[in-house]
Amino acid sequence: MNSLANISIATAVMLLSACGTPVAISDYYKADTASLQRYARMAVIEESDTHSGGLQELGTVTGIYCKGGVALTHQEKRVEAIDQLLLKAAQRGATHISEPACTASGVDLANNCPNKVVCKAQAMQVR
Amino acid sequence: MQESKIKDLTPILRNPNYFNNLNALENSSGNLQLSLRRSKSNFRNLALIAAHRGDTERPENNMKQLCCICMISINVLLIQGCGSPFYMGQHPSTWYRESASDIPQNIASLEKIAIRPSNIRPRLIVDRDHEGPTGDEVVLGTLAGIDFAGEMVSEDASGVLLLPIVLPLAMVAGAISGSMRAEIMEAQKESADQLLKFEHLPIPSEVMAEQVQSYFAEAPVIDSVLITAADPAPDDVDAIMTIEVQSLHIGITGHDASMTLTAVAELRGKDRSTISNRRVFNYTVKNTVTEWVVNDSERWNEFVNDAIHYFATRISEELFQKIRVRHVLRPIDTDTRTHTPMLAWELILLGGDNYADWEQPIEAEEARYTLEIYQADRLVYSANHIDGTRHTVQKPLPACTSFRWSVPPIYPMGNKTRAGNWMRERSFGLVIAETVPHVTLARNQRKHYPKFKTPCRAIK
Repeated sequence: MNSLANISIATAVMLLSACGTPVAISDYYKADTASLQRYARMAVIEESDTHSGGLQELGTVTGIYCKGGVALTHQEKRVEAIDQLLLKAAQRGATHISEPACTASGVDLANNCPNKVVCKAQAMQVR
Repeated sequence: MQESKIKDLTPILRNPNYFNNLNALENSSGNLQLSLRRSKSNFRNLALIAAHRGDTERPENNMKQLCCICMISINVLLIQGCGSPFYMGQHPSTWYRESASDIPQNIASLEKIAIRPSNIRPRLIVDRDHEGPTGDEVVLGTLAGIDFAGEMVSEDASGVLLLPIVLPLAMVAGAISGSMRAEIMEAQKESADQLLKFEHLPIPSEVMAEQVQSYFAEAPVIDSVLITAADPAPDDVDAIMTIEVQSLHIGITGHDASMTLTAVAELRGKDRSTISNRRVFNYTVKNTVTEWVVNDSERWNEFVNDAIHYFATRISEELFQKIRVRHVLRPIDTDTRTHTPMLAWELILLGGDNYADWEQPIEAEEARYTLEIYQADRLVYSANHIDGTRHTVQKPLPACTSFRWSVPPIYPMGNKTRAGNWMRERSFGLVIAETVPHVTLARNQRKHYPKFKTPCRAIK
Protein backbone atom coordinates (compact mmCIF):
# COMPACT_ATOMS: atom_id res chain seq x y z
CA MET A 1 0.00 0.00 0.00
CA ASN A 2 2.86 2.32 0.93
CA SER A 3 4.67 1.68 -2.30
CA LEU A 4 1.50 2.28 -4.30
CA ALA A 5 1.05 5.63 -2.57
CA ASN A 6 4.67 6.55 -3.17
CA ILE A 7 4.43 5.68 -6.84
CA SER A 8 1.20 7.65 -7.20
CA ILE A 9 2.62 10.69 -5.45
CA ALA A 10 5.83 10.54 -7.46
CA THR A 11 3.90 10.27 -10.72
CA ALA A 12 1.60 13.13 -9.84
CA VAL A 13 4.52 15.31 -8.74
CA MET A 14 6.41 14.50 -11.93
CA LEU A 15 3.43 15.37 -14.11
CA LEU A 16 2.51 18.48 -12.18
CA SER A 17 6.09 19.75 -12.05
CA ALA A 18 6.30 19.30 -15.80
CA CYS A 19 3.34 21.67 -16.09
CA GLY A 20 5.63 24.54 -15.28
CA THR A 21 7.59 24.14 -18.50
CA PRO A 22 5.21 23.86 -21.42
CA VAL A 23 6.52 24.03 -24.97
CA ALA A 24 6.77 27.53 -26.36
CA ILE A 25 3.44 28.56 -27.81
CA SER A 26 3.23 31.83 -29.69
CA ASP A 27 0.60 34.12 -28.35
CA TYR A 28 -1.57 36.15 -30.72
CA TYR A 29 -2.28 38.75 -28.11
CA LYS A 30 1.43 39.43 -27.57
CA ALA A 31 2.39 39.35 -31.25
CA ASP A 32 3.28 42.66 -32.88
CA THR A 33 0.88 44.31 -35.31
CA ALA A 34 2.98 43.68 -38.43
CA SER A 35 3.25 39.97 -37.62
CA LEU A 36 -0.48 39.67 -37.10
CA GLN A 37 -1.15 41.44 -40.39
CA ARG A 38 1.27 39.10 -42.18
CA TYR A 39 -0.39 36.16 -40.43
CA ALA A 40 -3.82 37.19 -41.67
CA ARG A 41 -2.56 37.48 -45.26
CA MET A 42 -0.17 34.49 -45.26
CA ALA A 43 -0.26 32.52 -48.49
CA VAL A 44 0.41 28.80 -48.79
CA ILE A 45 2.18 27.95 -52.03
CA GLU A 46 2.50 24.74 -54.02
CA GLU A 47 5.63 22.63 -53.68
CA SER A 48 6.56 23.41 -57.28
CA ASP A 49 6.54 27.15 -56.59
CA THR A 50 8.69 27.06 -53.47
CA HIS A 51 11.89 27.46 -55.44
CA SER A 52 10.66 30.27 -57.64
CA GLY A 53 13.02 33.18 -57.92
CA GLY A 54 10.65 35.70 -56.40
CA LEU A 55 10.72 34.15 -52.93
CA GLN A 56 13.51 33.99 -50.40
CA GLU A 57 13.56 31.02 -48.02
CA LEU A 58 13.71 31.89 -44.32
CA GLY A 59 14.06 28.33 -43.05
CA THR A 60 11.77 25.72 -41.59
CA VAL A 61 9.13 26.75 -39.10
CA THR A 62 7.37 24.38 -36.74
CA GLY A 63 3.92 24.69 -35.27
CA ILE A 64 2.92 22.48 -32.40
CA TYR A 65 -0.42 21.58 -30.98
CA CYS A 66 0.37 20.53 -27.46
CA LYS A 67 -2.62 19.86 -25.32
CA GLY A 68 -4.58 16.96 -24.03
CA GLY A 69 -8.26 16.70 -24.37
CA VAL A 70 -10.89 14.89 -26.26
CA ALA A 71 -12.72 18.05 -27.33
CA LEU A 72 -10.86 18.48 -30.61
CA THR A 73 -10.70 16.05 -33.50
CA HIS A 74 -7.39 15.26 -35.13
CA GLN A 75 -8.21 17.62 -37.98
CA GLU A 76 -8.97 20.42 -35.51
CA LYS A 77 -5.70 19.77 -33.68
CA ARG A 78 -3.91 19.91 -37.02
CA VAL A 79 -5.56 23.25 -37.78
CA GLU A 80 -4.43 24.59 -34.41
CA ALA A 81 -0.85 23.39 -35.09
CA ILE A 82 -0.88 25.05 -38.52
CA ASP A 83 -2.18 28.21 -36.89
CA GLN A 84 0.87 28.20 -34.64
CA LEU A 85 3.08 27.58 -37.64
CA LEU A 86 1.56 30.52 -39.51
CA LEU A 87 2.02 32.86 -36.57
CA LYS A 88 5.63 31.78 -36.04
CA ALA A 89 6.34 32.20 -39.74
CA ALA A 90 4.75 35.66 -39.68
CA GLN A 91 6.87 36.60 -36.68
CA ARG A 92 9.94 35.65 -38.70
CA GLY A 93 8.85 38.00 -41.43
CA ALA A 94 7.40 35.40 -43.79
CA THR A 95 4.67 36.21 -46.28
CA HIS A 96 4.40 32.70 -47.72
CA ILE A 97 4.80 29.15 -46.44
CA SER A 98 5.07 25.86 -48.26
CA GLU A 99 2.35 23.22 -47.84
CA PRO A 100 2.60 22.16 -44.16
CA ALA A 101 3.42 18.55 -43.34
CA CYS A 102 1.91 17.36 -40.08
CA THR A 103 2.52 14.37 -37.85
CA ALA A 104 0.68 13.31 -34.73
CA SER A 105 3.05 11.93 -32.16
CA GLY A 106 0.60 11.42 -29.32
CA VAL A 107 2.00 11.61 -25.80
CA ASP A 108 5.32 13.42 -25.51
CA LEU A 109 6.01 13.73 -21.79
CA ALA A 110 9.55 14.91 -22.41
CA ASN A 111 8.10 18.13 -23.85
CA ASN A 112 5.10 18.09 -21.59
CA CYS A 113 2.70 17.34 -24.42
CA PRO A 114 0.00 14.85 -23.57
CA ASN A 115 -1.28 15.10 -27.11
CA LYS A 116 1.07 16.44 -29.70
CA VAL A 117 0.64 17.36 -33.34
CA VAL A 118 3.63 18.86 -35.13
CA CYS A 119 3.43 20.69 -38.46
CA LYS A 120 6.42 21.88 -40.45
CA ALA A 121 6.76 24.13 -43.47
CA GLN A 122 9.24 26.36 -45.23
CA ALA A 123 8.82 30.05 -44.42
CA MET A 124 9.40 32.44 -47.31
CA GLN A 125 9.19 36.09 -48.06
CA VAL A 126 9.04 38.10 -51.23
CA ARG A 127 12.53 39.18 -52.33
CA MET B 1 17.18 4.10 11.97
CA GLN B 2 13.85 5.27 10.73
CA GLU B 3 12.02 2.90 13.05
CA SER B 4 13.98 4.17 16.06
CA LYS B 5 13.05 7.76 15.16
CA ILE B 6 9.43 6.83 15.18
CA LYS B 7 9.83 5.17 18.55
CA ASP B 8 11.61 8.28 19.83
CA LEU B 9 8.79 10.46 18.70
CA THR B 10 6.09 8.47 20.40
CA PRO B 11 6.55 9.86 23.94
CA ILE B 12 6.54 13.36 22.54
CA LEU B 13 3.44 12.67 20.58
CA ARG B 14 1.76 11.22 23.63
CA ASN B 15 2.53 14.27 25.72
CA PRO B 16 -0.89 15.86 26.36
CA ASN B 17 0.55 19.36 26.03
CA TYR B 18 2.15 18.52 22.73
CA PHE B 19 -0.61 19.76 20.52
CA ASN B 20 -1.52 22.67 22.73
CA ASN B 21 1.81 24.34 22.74
CA LEU B 22 3.97 24.49 19.69
CA ASN B 23 6.83 26.02 21.67
CA ALA B 24 6.87 22.96 23.86
CA LEU B 25 7.02 20.90 20.71
CA GLU B 26 10.09 22.72 19.52
CA ASN B 27 11.75 22.66 22.92
CA SER B 28 11.15 19.01 23.59
CA SER B 29 12.41 17.93 20.22
CA GLY B 30 14.32 20.44 18.23
CA ASN B 31 14.73 18.01 15.43
CA LEU B 32 11.16 16.91 15.26
CA GLN B 33 10.17 19.18 12.43
CA LEU B 34 13.33 18.28 10.54
CA SER B 35 12.76 14.64 11.25
CA LEU B 36 9.19 14.90 10.03
CA ARG B 37 10.36 16.58 6.88
CA ARG B 38 13.26 14.37 6.09
CA SER B 39 12.12 10.97 7.21
CA LYS B 40 10.91 8.72 4.49
CA SER B 41 8.37 7.55 7.02
CA ASN B 42 6.71 10.92 7.26
CA PHE B 43 3.47 9.32 6.49
CA ARG B 44 3.69 7.04 9.47
CA ASN B 45 4.63 9.95 11.71
CA LEU B 46 1.65 11.86 10.50
CA ALA B 47 -0.49 8.83 11.07
CA LEU B 48 0.78 8.64 14.66
CA ILE B 49 -0.02 12.30 15.15
CA ALA B 50 -3.46 11.77 13.70
CA ALA B 51 -4.04 8.76 15.94
CA HIS B 52 -2.92 10.74 19.00
CA ARG B 53 -5.27 13.59 18.16
CA GLY B 54 -8.11 11.13 18.02
CA ASP B 55 -8.71 11.56 14.32
CA THR B 56 -11.11 8.95 13.21
CA GLU B 57 -9.50 8.42 9.84
CA ARG B 58 -7.06 5.59 9.73
CA PRO B 59 -3.75 5.95 7.84
CA GLU B 60 -5.08 3.60 5.19
CA ASN B 61 -7.94 5.98 4.58
CA ASN B 62 -5.54 8.88 4.22
CA MET B 63 -3.48 6.80 1.85
CA LYS B 64 -6.57 6.03 -0.18
CA GLN B 65 -7.41 9.72 -0.30
CA LEU B 66 -3.91 10.54 -1.47
CA CYS B 67 -4.07 7.83 -4.10
CA CYS B 68 -7.42 9.19 -5.22
CA ILE B 69 -5.98 12.72 -5.48
CA CYS B 70 -3.03 11.40 -7.48
CA MET B 71 -5.25 9.42 -9.80
CA ILE B 72 -7.55 12.43 -10.29
CA SER B 73 -4.50 14.63 -11.00
CA ILE B 74 -3.21 12.16 -13.57
CA ASN B 75 -6.61 11.86 -15.21
CA VAL B 76 -7.06 15.62 -15.31
CA LEU B 77 -3.63 15.99 -16.89
CA LEU B 78 -4.28 13.33 -19.46
CA ILE B 79 -7.72 14.62 -20.35
CA GLN B 80 -7.14 18.35 -20.12
CA GLY B 81 -3.42 18.56 -20.68
CA CYS B 82 -0.66 20.33 -18.81
CA GLY B 83 -0.32 23.06 -21.33
CA SER B 84 -3.98 23.94 -21.32
CA PRO B 85 -3.85 27.17 -19.31
CA PHE B 86 -0.99 28.38 -21.46
CA TYR B 87 -2.28 27.16 -24.76
CA MET B 88 -5.91 28.16 -24.51
CA GLY B 89 -4.83 31.61 -23.53
CA GLN B 90 -3.47 32.51 -26.94
CA HIS B 91 -6.62 34.30 -27.79
CA PRO B 92 -10.29 33.54 -27.37
CA SER B 93 -10.80 34.18 -31.04
CA THR B 94 -9.34 30.76 -31.81
CA TRP B 95 -12.44 29.30 -30.24
CA TYR B 96 -14.70 30.90 -32.80
CA ARG B 97 -13.40 29.08 -35.82
CA GLU B 98 -16.47 26.92 -36.05
CA SER B 99 -18.85 29.73 -36.91
CA ALA B 100 -18.54 33.48 -36.88
CA SER B 101 -22.29 33.90 -37.09
CA ASP B 102 -24.00 34.04 -33.77
CA ILE B 103 -27.33 35.28 -35.03
CA PRO B 104 -29.56 32.49 -36.34
CA GLN B 105 -31.06 32.86 -39.78
CA ASN B 106 -34.61 33.36 -38.51
CA ILE B 107 -33.46 36.48 -36.66
CA ALA B 108 -30.98 37.67 -39.30
CA SER B 109 -33.78 37.60 -41.88
CA LEU B 110 -36.10 39.86 -39.87
CA GLU B 111 -36.61 43.25 -41.51
CA LYS B 112 -38.78 45.05 -38.99
CA ILE B 113 -39.99 44.29 -35.49
CA ALA B 114 -42.47 45.76 -33.04
CA ILE B 115 -41.24 46.44 -29.52
CA ARG B 116 -43.93 45.95 -26.94
CA PRO B 117 -43.65 46.48 -23.17
CA SER B 118 -45.03 43.73 -20.97
CA ASN B 119 -48.18 44.48 -19.02
CA ILE B 120 -46.90 42.49 -16.06
CA ARG B 121 -46.09 44.85 -13.23
CA PRO B 122 -42.46 44.68 -12.08
CA ARG B 123 -41.92 43.27 -8.63
CA LEU B 124 -40.12 45.11 -5.87
CA ILE B 125 -38.13 42.74 -3.67
CA VAL B 126 -36.59 44.18 -0.53
CA ASP B 127 -34.16 42.30 1.68
CA ARG B 128 -33.07 44.21 4.74
CA ASP B 129 -31.17 42.92 7.71
CA HIS B 130 -32.69 45.36 10.22
CA GLU B 131 -35.88 47.28 10.75
CA GLY B 132 -34.51 50.20 12.75
CA PRO B 133 -34.04 50.63 16.50
CA THR B 134 -36.27 48.59 18.78
CA GLY B 135 -36.04 51.01 21.72
CA ASP B 136 -34.09 48.52 23.81
CA GLU B 137 -30.66 49.62 22.64
CA VAL B 138 -29.89 51.76 25.72
CA VAL B 139 -31.02 49.01 28.08
CA LEU B 140 -29.04 46.41 26.14
CA GLY B 141 -25.98 48.69 26.14
CA THR B 142 -26.26 49.17 29.91
CA LEU B 143 -26.56 45.43 30.43
CA ALA B 144 -23.52 44.89 28.22
CA GLY B 145 -21.65 47.38 30.44
CA ILE B 146 -22.64 45.42 33.57
CA ASP B 147 -21.54 42.23 31.86
CA PHE B 148 -18.20 43.81 30.97
CA ALA B 149 -17.65 44.95 34.58
CA GLY B 150 -18.56 41.46 35.84
CA GLU B 151 -16.02 39.87 33.50
CA MET B 152 -13.32 42.21 34.75
CA VAL B 153 -14.03 41.27 38.36
CA SER B 154 -14.15 37.53 37.66
CA GLU B 155 -10.74 37.62 35.97
CA ASP B 156 -9.03 39.09 39.00
CA ALA B 157 -10.35 38.77 42.55
CA SER B 158 -8.73 42.07 43.52
CA GLY B 159 -10.93 43.68 40.88
CA VAL B 160 -13.84 43.46 43.35
CA LEU B 161 -12.33 46.48 45.07
CA LEU B 162 -12.66 48.45 41.85
CA LEU B 163 -16.23 47.35 41.23
CA PRO B 164 -17.88 50.49 42.70
CA ILE B 165 -15.86 52.56 40.22
CA VAL B 166 -15.86 50.26 37.20
CA LEU B 167 -19.54 49.29 37.29
CA PRO B 168 -21.07 52.79 36.97
CA LEU B 169 -18.52 53.75 34.33
CA ALA B 170 -19.20 50.58 32.31
CA MET B 171 -22.97 51.11 32.63
CA VAL B 172 -22.72 54.70 31.43
CA ALA B 173 -20.40 53.73 28.56
CA GLY B 174 -22.76 50.89 27.61
CA ALA B 175 -25.77 53.17 27.70
CA ILE B 176 -24.01 55.78 25.53
CA SER B 177 -22.93 53.08 23.09
CA GLY B 178 -26.48 51.70 22.97
CA SER B 179 -27.87 55.16 22.41
CA MET B 180 -25.40 55.80 19.56
CA ARG B 181 -26.26 52.45 18.01
CA ALA B 182 -29.93 53.35 18.21
CA GLU B 183 -29.21 56.62 16.41
CA ILE B 184 -27.23 54.86 13.67
CA MET B 185 -29.98 52.27 13.23
CA GLU B 186 -32.56 55.03 13.08
CA ALA B 187 -30.52 56.88 10.44
CA GLN B 188 -30.11 53.67 8.45
CA LYS B 189 -33.79 52.95 8.66
CA GLU B 190 -34.63 56.48 7.54
CA SER B 191 -32.25 56.18 4.57
CA ALA B 192 -33.61 52.76 3.71
CA ASP B 193 -37.18 54.05 3.97
CA GLN B 194 -36.23 56.98 1.76
CA LEU B 195 -34.66 54.53 -0.65
CA LEU B 196 -37.97 52.79 -1.04
CA LYS B 197 -39.79 56.04 -1.80
CA PHE B 198 -37.98 56.74 -5.06
CA GLU B 199 -40.17 57.79 -7.87
CA HIS B 200 -40.81 55.21 -10.56
CA LEU B 201 -39.67 52.39 -8.32
CA PRO B 202 -39.17 50.03 -10.00
CA ILE B 203 -38.70 51.23 -13.58
CA PRO B 204 -41.81 50.51 -15.68
CA SER B 205 -41.46 48.20 -18.68
CA GLU B 206 -42.86 51.00 -20.88
CA VAL B 207 -39.83 53.21 -20.17
CA MET B 208 -37.44 50.37 -20.88
CA ALA B 209 -39.17 49.42 -24.13
CA GLU B 210 -39.10 53.04 -25.30
CA GLN B 211 -35.37 53.32 -24.63
CA VAL B 212 -34.61 50.01 -26.34
CA GLN B 213 -36.51 51.17 -29.42
CA SER B 214 -34.65 54.46 -29.38
CA TYR B 215 -31.31 52.62 -29.21
CA PHE B 216 -32.33 50.26 -32.02
CA ALA B 217 -33.09 53.24 -34.25
CA GLU B 218 -29.84 55.01 -33.43
CA ALA B 219 -27.40 52.08 -33.76
CA PRO B 220 -29.00 51.04 -36.25
CA VAL B 221 -29.81 47.53 -35.11
CA ILE B 222 -33.02 46.75 -36.96
CA ASP B 223 -36.01 48.72 -38.19
CA SER B 224 -38.46 48.84 -35.28
CA VAL B 225 -41.67 50.42 -34.06
CA LEU B 226 -42.87 50.90 -30.49
CA ILE B 227 -46.35 49.70 -29.60
CA THR B 228 -48.25 49.55 -26.32
CA ALA B 229 -49.03 46.38 -24.41
CA ALA B 230 -52.61 46.49 -25.69
CA ASP B 231 -51.82 47.24 -29.35
CA PRO B 232 -52.06 44.49 -31.94
CA ALA B 233 -48.94 43.85 -34.01
CA PRO B 234 -48.75 46.15 -37.06
CA ASP B 235 -49.04 44.47 -40.44
CA ASP B 236 -45.59 45.51 -41.65
CA VAL B 237 -43.60 43.86 -38.84
CA ASP B 238 -42.11 40.37 -38.94
CA ALA B 239 -41.91 39.78 -35.21
CA ILE B 240 -42.69 41.23 -31.79
CA MET B 241 -40.14 41.72 -29.08
CA THR B 242 -41.59 41.89 -25.59
CA ILE B 243 -39.61 43.81 -23.01
CA GLU B 244 -40.40 43.14 -19.40
CA VAL B 245 -38.81 44.73 -16.37
CA GLN B 246 -39.21 41.77 -14.11
CA SER B 247 -38.00 42.99 -10.74
CA LEU B 248 -35.98 45.43 -8.75
CA HIS B 249 -34.18 43.77 -5.88
CA ILE B 250 -32.95 46.02 -3.09
CA GLY B 251 -30.62 44.29 -0.66
CA ILE B 252 -29.82 46.35 2.42
CA THR B 253 -27.03 44.99 4.56
CA GLY B 254 -25.76 47.27 7.29
CA HIS B 255 -24.64 50.51 5.65
CA ASP B 256 -24.77 49.14 2.10
CA ALA B 257 -27.59 48.73 -0.35
CA SER B 258 -27.33 46.90 -3.65
CA MET B 259 -29.83 47.37 -6.44
CA THR B 260 -30.37 44.68 -9.03
CA LEU B 261 -32.68 45.35 -11.91
CA THR B 262 -33.76 42.32 -13.90
CA ALA B 263 -35.23 42.65 -17.38
CA VAL B 264 -36.36 40.01 -19.84
CA ALA B 265 -36.52 40.17 -23.62
CA GLU B 266 -38.42 37.69 -25.74
CA LEU B 267 -38.84 37.56 -29.50
CA ARG B 268 -41.89 35.93 -31.05
CA GLY B 269 -43.44 35.74 -34.47
CA LYS B 270 -46.79 37.36 -35.15
CA ASP B 271 -48.32 33.89 -34.80
CA ARG B 272 -46.74 33.79 -31.30
CA SER B 273 -44.19 31.18 -32.35
CA THR B 274 -40.92 31.50 -30.45
CA ILE B 275 -38.10 33.08 -32.42
CA SER B 276 -35.79 33.63 -29.49
CA ASN B 277 -36.19 32.26 -25.99
CA ARG B 278 -36.49 34.58 -23.03
CA ARG B 279 -33.18 36.29 -22.30
CA VAL B 280 -32.68 37.52 -18.77
CA PHE B 281 -30.41 40.48 -18.07
CA ASN B 282 -29.33 41.69 -14.64
CA TYR B 283 -27.82 45.03 -13.76
CA THR B 284 -26.40 45.46 -10.24
CA VAL B 285 -24.89 48.43 -8.46
CA LYS B 286 -23.89 48.63 -4.81
CA ASN B 287 -23.58 51.84 -2.82
CA THR B 288 -23.97 52.84 0.79
CA VAL B 289 -27.56 53.52 1.76
CA THR B 290 -26.71 57.18 2.30
CA GLU B 291 -25.00 57.48 -1.10
CA TRP B 292 -28.16 56.28 -2.78
CA VAL B 293 -30.30 59.03 -1.32
CA VAL B 294 -28.02 62.10 -1.11
CA ASN B 295 -28.01 64.90 -3.70
CA ASP B 296 -31.61 64.41 -4.61
CA SER B 297 -31.06 60.68 -5.26
CA GLU B 298 -28.37 61.36 -7.87
CA ARG B 299 -27.01 57.80 -7.68
CA TRP B 300 -30.44 56.31 -8.12
CA ASN B 301 -31.06 58.42 -11.20
CA GLU B 302 -27.67 57.36 -12.56
CA PHE B 303 -28.55 53.75 -11.84
CA VAL B 304 -31.80 54.02 -13.77
CA ASN B 305 -30.10 55.63 -16.78
CA ASP B 306 -27.20 53.18 -16.76
CA ALA B 307 -29.46 50.18 -16.36
CA ILE B 308 -31.59 51.25 -19.31
CA HIS B 309 -28.50 51.90 -21.41
CA TYR B 310 -27.05 48.54 -20.37
CA PHE B 311 -30.20 46.60 -21.21
CA ALA B 312 -30.65 48.33 -24.55
CA THR B 313 -27.08 47.59 -25.65
CA ARG B 314 -27.03 44.01 -24.39
CA ILE B 315 -30.44 43.10 -25.78
CA SER B 316 -29.35 44.54 -29.09
CA GLU B 317 -26.01 42.73 -29.08
CA GLU B 318 -27.20 39.37 -27.90
CA LEU B 319 -30.35 39.11 -29.97
CA PHE B 320 -29.46 40.90 -33.16
CA GLN B 321 -25.83 41.89 -33.45
CA LYS B 322 -23.35 39.42 -32.00
CA ILE B 323 -20.68 38.17 -34.33
CA ARG B 324 -17.64 36.14 -33.31
CA VAL B 325 -14.66 36.51 -35.54
CA ARG B 326 -11.05 35.58 -34.93
CA HIS B 327 -9.44 38.80 -33.98
CA VAL B 328 -7.05 40.60 -31.70
CA LEU B 329 -8.56 43.65 -30.02
CA ARG B 330 -6.23 45.32 -27.55
CA PRO B 331 -5.43 48.72 -26.08
CA ILE B 332 -2.42 50.56 -27.53
CA ASP B 333 -0.67 53.90 -27.05
CA THR B 334 -3.21 55.08 -24.54
CA ASP B 335 -2.37 58.46 -23.04
CA THR B 336 -3.83 58.79 -19.57
CA ARG B 337 -1.64 61.64 -18.31
CA THR B 338 -4.55 64.07 -18.32
CA HIS B 339 -8.08 64.07 -17.01
CA THR B 340 -9.31 63.82 -20.57
CA PRO B 341 -7.33 60.74 -21.59
CA MET B 342 -6.77 59.66 -25.15
CA LEU B 343 -7.75 56.02 -25.40
CA ALA B 344 -6.52 54.01 -28.37
CA TRP B 345 -6.96 50.43 -29.42
CA GLU B 346 -6.12 48.10 -32.24
CA LEU B 347 -8.32 45.62 -34.08
CA ILE B 348 -6.80 43.00 -36.32
CA LEU B 349 -9.02 40.40 -37.93
CA LEU B 350 -7.13 37.13 -38.17
CA GLY B 351 -9.25 35.68 -40.96
CA GLY B 352 -10.23 32.06 -41.44
CA ASP B 353 -13.76 32.57 -40.12
CA ASN B 354 -16.68 30.54 -41.31
CA TYR B 355 -19.66 32.74 -42.03
CA ALA B 356 -23.17 31.43 -42.31
CA ASP B 357 -24.75 31.75 -45.75
CA TRP B 358 -26.94 34.62 -44.57
CA GLU B 359 -24.03 36.70 -43.25
CA GLN B 360 -21.58 38.82 -45.18
CA PRO B 361 -17.86 38.79 -44.32
CA ILE B 362 -16.82 41.84 -42.34
CA GLU B 363 -13.85 44.16 -42.71
CA ALA B 364 -11.88 45.69 -39.82
CA GLU B 365 -11.61 49.00 -41.68
CA GLU B 366 -15.40 49.36 -41.74
CA ALA B 367 -15.78 48.97 -37.99
CA ARG B 368 -17.13 51.77 -35.85
CA TYR B 369 -16.83 51.68 -32.10
CA THR B 370 -18.82 52.35 -28.97
CA LEU B 371 -16.63 53.36 -26.03
CA GLU B 372 -17.62 53.02 -22.41
CA ILE B 373 -15.71 54.04 -19.29
CA TYR B 374 -16.68 52.71 -15.90
CA GLN B 375 -15.74 53.90 -12.45
CA ALA B 376 -16.31 50.81 -10.32
CA ASP B 377 -19.87 49.86 -11.29
CA ARG B 378 -20.88 53.23 -12.72
CA LEU B 379 -20.84 54.15 -16.35
CA VAL B 380 -19.18 57.56 -16.28
CA TYR B 381 -18.60 58.15 -19.97
CA SER B 382 -19.73 56.75 -23.28
CA ALA B 383 -19.31 57.66 -26.92
CA ASN B 384 -20.98 56.10 -29.93
CA HIS B 385 -20.19 55.77 -33.63
CA ILE B 386 -16.46 56.38 -33.18
CA ASP B 387 -14.79 56.31 -36.56
CA GLY B 388 -11.20 55.19 -36.11
CA THR B 389 -9.38 53.49 -33.30
CA ARG B 390 -8.74 56.32 -30.88
CA HIS B 391 -10.85 58.66 -28.86
CA THR B 392 -10.12 61.58 -26.56
CA VAL B 393 -12.51 61.75 -23.65
CA GLN B 394 -14.57 64.90 -24.04
CA LYS B 395 -15.31 65.69 -20.41
CA PRO B 396 -12.75 65.70 -17.57
CA LEU B 397 -12.75 62.58 -15.44
CA PRO B 398 -12.24 62.73 -11.68
CA ALA B 399 -8.55 62.94 -10.66
CA CYS B 400 -6.61 60.12 -9.07
CA THR B 401 -9.30 57.57 -9.91
CA SER B 402 -9.17 54.12 -11.46
CA PHE B 403 -11.40 53.33 -14.40
CA ARG B 404 -12.14 50.43 -16.70
CA TRP B 405 -12.85 50.99 -20.35
CA SER B 406 -13.72 48.99 -23.40
CA VAL B 407 -14.93 49.13 -26.97
CA PRO B 408 -16.82 46.66 -29.10
CA PRO B 409 -16.35 46.89 -32.87
CA ILE B 410 -19.63 47.54 -34.66
CA TYR B 411 -19.55 46.31 -38.26
CA PRO B 412 -22.00 47.56 -40.86
CA MET B 413 -23.84 44.75 -42.63
CA GLY B 414 -26.28 46.05 -45.20
CA ASN B 415 -28.77 48.29 -43.41
CA LYS B 416 -28.03 46.56 -40.10
CA THR B 417 -24.97 46.22 -37.89
CA ARG B 418 -23.10 43.41 -36.21
CA ALA B 419 -21.24 43.80 -32.91
CA GLY B 420 -18.01 42.06 -32.00
CA ASN B 421 -16.84 41.24 -28.48
CA TRP B 422 -16.01 43.96 -26.02
CA MET B 423 -12.28 44.44 -25.58
CA ARG B 424 -10.89 42.62 -22.59
CA GLU B 425 -7.78 42.77 -20.54
CA ARG B 426 -5.53 39.73 -20.62
CA SER B 427 -5.48 37.94 -17.33
CA PHE B 428 -2.96 35.11 -17.34
CA GLY B 429 -4.33 34.00 -20.65
CA LEU B 430 -7.43 32.58 -19.10
CA VAL B 431 -10.61 33.75 -20.67
CA ILE B 432 -13.78 33.70 -18.69
CA ALA B 433 -16.88 32.63 -20.55
CA GLU B 434 -18.52 35.55 -22.28
CA THR B 435 -21.85 35.28 -20.57
CA VAL B 436 -23.69 32.80 -18.48
CA PRO B 437 -26.31 31.45 -20.90
CA HIS B 438 -29.36 33.69 -20.93
CA VAL B 439 -28.08 35.71 -17.99
CA THR B 440 -25.69 38.59 -18.40
CA LEU B 441 -23.97 39.69 -15.26
CA ALA B 442 -22.87 43.24 -15.84
CA ARG B 443 -20.27 43.33 -13.14
CA ASN B 444 -18.63 40.08 -14.22
CA GLN B 445 -18.22 41.38 -17.72
CA ARG B 446 -16.70 44.70 -16.75
CA LYS B 447 -14.05 43.35 -14.46
CA HIS B 448 -12.18 42.06 -17.50
CA TYR B 449 -12.03 45.45 -19.22
CA PRO B 450 -8.65 47.22 -19.44
CA LYS B 451 -7.83 49.66 -16.65
CA PHE B 452 -6.39 53.14 -16.46
CA LYS B 453 -5.96 55.73 -13.74
CA THR B 454 -6.26 59.46 -14.05
CA PRO B 455 -3.36 61.53 -12.70
CA CYS B 456 -3.67 63.06 -9.27
CA ARG B 457 -2.50 66.36 -10.77
CA ALA B 458 -3.14 67.31 -14.38
CA ILE B 459 -0.12 67.99 -16.59
CA LYS B 460 -0.34 71.44 -18.14
